[in-house]
Amino acid sequence: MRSYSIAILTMLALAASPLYALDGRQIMEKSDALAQPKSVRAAVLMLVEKGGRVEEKEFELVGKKYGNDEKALLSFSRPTSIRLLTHTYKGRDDDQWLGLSSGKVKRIALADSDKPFVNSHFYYEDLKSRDIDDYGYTLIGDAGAGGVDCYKVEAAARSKKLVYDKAVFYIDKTNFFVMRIDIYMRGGLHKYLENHDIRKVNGILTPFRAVMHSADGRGKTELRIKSVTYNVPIADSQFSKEALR
Amino acid sequence: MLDKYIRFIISRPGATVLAIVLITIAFGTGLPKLRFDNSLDSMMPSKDPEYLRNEEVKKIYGNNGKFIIMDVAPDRLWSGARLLEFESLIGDIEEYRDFDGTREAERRRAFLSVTEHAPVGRDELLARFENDPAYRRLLSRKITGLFGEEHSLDRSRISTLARELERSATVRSERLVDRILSPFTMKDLSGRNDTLSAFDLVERGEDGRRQVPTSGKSIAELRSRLSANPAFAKGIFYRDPASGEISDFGVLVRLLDVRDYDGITSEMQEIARSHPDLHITIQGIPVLYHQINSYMQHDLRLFMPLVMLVMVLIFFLNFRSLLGVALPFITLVLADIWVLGLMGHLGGKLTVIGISLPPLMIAVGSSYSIHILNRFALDTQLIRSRGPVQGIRISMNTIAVTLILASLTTMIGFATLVTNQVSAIREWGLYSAIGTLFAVLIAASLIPALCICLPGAVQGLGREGKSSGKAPVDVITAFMAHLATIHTRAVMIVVAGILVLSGIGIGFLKTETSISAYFHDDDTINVSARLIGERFGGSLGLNILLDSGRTDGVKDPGFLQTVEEVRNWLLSDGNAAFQIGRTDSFTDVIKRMNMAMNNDDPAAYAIPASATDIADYLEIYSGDDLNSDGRADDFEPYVDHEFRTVNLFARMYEKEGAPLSTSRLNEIIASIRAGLSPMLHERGYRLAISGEPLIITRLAKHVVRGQLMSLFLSLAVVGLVVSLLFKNWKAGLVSLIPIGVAVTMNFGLMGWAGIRLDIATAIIASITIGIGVDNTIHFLNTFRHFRSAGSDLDEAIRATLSTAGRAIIYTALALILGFAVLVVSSFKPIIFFALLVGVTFIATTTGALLILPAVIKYTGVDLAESTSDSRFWKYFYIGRLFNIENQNTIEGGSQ
Repeated sequence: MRSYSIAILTMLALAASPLYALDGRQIMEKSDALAQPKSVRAAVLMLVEKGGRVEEKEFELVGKKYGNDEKALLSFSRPTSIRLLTHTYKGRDDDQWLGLSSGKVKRIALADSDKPFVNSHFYYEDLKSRDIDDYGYTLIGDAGAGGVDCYKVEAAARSKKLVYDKAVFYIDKTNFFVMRIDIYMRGGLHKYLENHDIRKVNGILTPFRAVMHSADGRGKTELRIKSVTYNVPIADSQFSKEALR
Repeated sequence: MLDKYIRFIISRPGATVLAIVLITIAFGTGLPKLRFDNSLDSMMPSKDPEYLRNEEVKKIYGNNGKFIIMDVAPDRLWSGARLLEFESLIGDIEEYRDFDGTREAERRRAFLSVTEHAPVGRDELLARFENDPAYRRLLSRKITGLFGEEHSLDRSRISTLARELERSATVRSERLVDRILSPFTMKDLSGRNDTLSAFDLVERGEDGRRQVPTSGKSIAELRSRLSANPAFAKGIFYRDPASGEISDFGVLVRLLDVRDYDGITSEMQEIARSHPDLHITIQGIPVLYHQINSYMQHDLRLFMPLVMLVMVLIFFLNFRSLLGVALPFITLVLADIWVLGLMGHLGGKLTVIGISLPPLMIAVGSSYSIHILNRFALDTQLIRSRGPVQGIRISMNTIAVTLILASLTTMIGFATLVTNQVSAIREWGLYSAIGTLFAVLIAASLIPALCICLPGAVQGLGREGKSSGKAPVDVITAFMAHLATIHTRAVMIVVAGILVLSGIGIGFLKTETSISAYFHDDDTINVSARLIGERFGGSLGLNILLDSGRTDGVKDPGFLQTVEEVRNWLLSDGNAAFQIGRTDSFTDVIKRMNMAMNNDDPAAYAIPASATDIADYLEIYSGDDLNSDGRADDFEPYVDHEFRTVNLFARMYEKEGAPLSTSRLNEIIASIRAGLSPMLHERGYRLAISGEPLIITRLAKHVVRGQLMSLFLSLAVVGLVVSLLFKNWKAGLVSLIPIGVAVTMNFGLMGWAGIRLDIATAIIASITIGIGVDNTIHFLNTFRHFRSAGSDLDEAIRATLSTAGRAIIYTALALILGFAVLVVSSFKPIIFFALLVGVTFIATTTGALLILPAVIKYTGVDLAESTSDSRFWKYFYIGRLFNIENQNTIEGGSQ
């Protein structure tokens, strides 16, 4: 359970702030350089489709940058009222707290980034901020995704410690926005993310619908942005441990 | 029709032999395809409602009954050296879960690069895999398994080793290991100091490898972590009650749901053997099946030479000539190749009763050979005077009816088993019926053909100069004739007495289909099952399904409290008779999370009172859900994907040596139902039970039902066929008397001796009827001949016994001794089977030689062919097809 501030960005704008700087490294760097928000407030609907059932989850997301650091609060309203507060620091481990519906607060020291986030198809790994140098990038061709022409860039993990072996990015040739990511684990395609309904909000490209599919077609998790505002003033007290009670 | 066939064989003996050789080769190619299968799945009727329900349960909760469990109990468990060895064990098992095709290809290349210049030293080869310890250990144990401690590997050994490595790689590539539960692979939660953390019990380093505790501090930390979670006790460790210390580790290897676990089980057993210092005891249903397969192969290797030897002795006793031994011997070997080869081609599998097929075919085949050769021996003079072609033709015509009638009724006896719901019994019936047909075809074709091809062959079978005085067989038949004709009333009284006693014994008969009952009590399998049961709760799993009645009802604390109440009730001292050693439940996870949320307070290892807390726990539980069915994979064995029903998985074992027999399982399941249903119903919940124990009890019901069905059916069909063959209804009824007495005796004896009706003993009645009726037919056919020739009743009985009696006794001897070798089997049912077959064959032989003539004499029944020319007999007198009248004339003539 690390780096929920980036979780926010992943959910709202996995593409607006492409997590991977790639290339042909140049392509990925361009993608990485797209405009990013200083703060965000959003209402998100999460639809988890598994075993023929669709479970709806709803949460509010509040995030703010503090120089190189970030703070984010994720407050679920459905199906439970858990809250997750994350302080992300550059160069050291993140701090994270969990607030239960009952008001009980626990510091979290969980370490498994290859585990599902709230039983969805997103892993904690998907929500982490990443170092562009973790992967080596190769332009492997062109392909269509989301109805646009894309560069197809393969990112190969440089360390065995990383959860994913490799990822293939589909990047819009016109604006360097990530339209799709194929994610590989243990030598095989594990899942893929598709961004849809991409709009510009306050000058920031934002996918209003992002769908993570499991590769075997057995399930998917869809994130729908109900509302989003960027660069709005947010009180620092919202990111304190006491705010969880 | 018969004569035409015999003429064809005799006129083309070379072509006949060649055809048989070619057919044998064709069937023989099926032998390598023959597989063993002893799973209950292979026996259960696929439409049985309980079986179908169990399949449904397996779809929802996985095949949680299929696991291999290891008790690891080394001396000084808590030393660094032992823990490192344990890490090697886990690493070896993980190879079967985490197979990586690319890595395997690299290993293969490395192996080939070292071994291309043979010979290669063992150490040299192992050194090549210095950085791949798991593969190095795999190589080492394979080399040891194949060549012992031999150090040099020449080209031939390298090829053998390469083949074995390929086989092992195939097993690993199947990735049948789903999960490994052990102190080195499990995770746990902690909530101390208001900090929630999930951690591996043995943590991994930067390189991803487990950091095996070897220092005093790290070992103490592991002990403390194991003790912190109450669910781990008797799950992944066992605490010695005397010292209170953790003395054993448990390793539970959960397997995916497949049909054949033989390969993976064999590999797991090999791994366990390769760590002798860890003192590993291995158990589980797949291990039981594997052990049965091993024993079966061992039994087959042991039986076949023994059966052959017995047959050679009987043939020699009967014919006293090399050819008299060789001809029937070849016949019965071919009969085995044909039927087993056919099974291989058709995908048939050898089950625990299937291994009786080879000796059965040998026994049946030998009886037909004995009939034919005995006839030739009796007709030596005829054959000499008329020449081999004409003489053998007449002789074959004489015996053909007996052969056809005997084989036909035998086939009917076996074929009625195809009505059985138990697939193993059904297949046995089908293949034994086909095998009987093969045996008679081969005997009736090959023996005459070879006798024509080999000049002087028949003369070698002649009895002249080979016997001095009366043979013991003749003494026996004369004695039987004396009893039947002079002491008829006494014989009838004794038979009636036996029937009454048997009837009482049948009342005590019990059914048994439990797998553990296959083995002797002191067999390693049963000993280890008891040990694993005591320490880790057993390997026979019962799914106790508690339905909350609504979607997400499992998240209700009231329901989870009920689940806990049920668990406690099942494990209470008052219910020790349930023989449940451990239960696993979804509530373990909830209780552990609740404890973590309350600073690891042991008092909080309980179901939380608030439904919101439970919902929160499930929301933050970050378990993999690789099949996207809506449940964390950890939950799959214990809760359905709608969170409506909990599967309380109860593991049973033979507590304090009390056997988990079928009847005991029935009682336990009934008691659980009776004890829980009212309470659950009152609270709006429902109970369902499934799992291997239930399948065992259902199988028993099918065995009994099938037994009764095939028994009456085969009696009816055999009686009908004999009536139609002899054109006399009374003959049909009379033919049932000796076999009826034998079957009644068989079940009565089983009841009195406490031998249970199981998969193997269930087929005895059909064997008794199928083979036993041969003697009756042989007797009736000969008896009628003498009566129609003008002999009075007593004379006809005496003449029949002196003529047909010899063949009847020798074939009975072959059958009894043929089956008797099965008493060296490793399976109890097979041993009882062999003993009972012996007893019932003695009974059917006595029935034909004593009871049948006594009944005929006592009742004065007229067995002559009906003179009726009604329409019925016009169409249904099937004896006409076999030229019975004509044959009787020939038989009379040849004698």
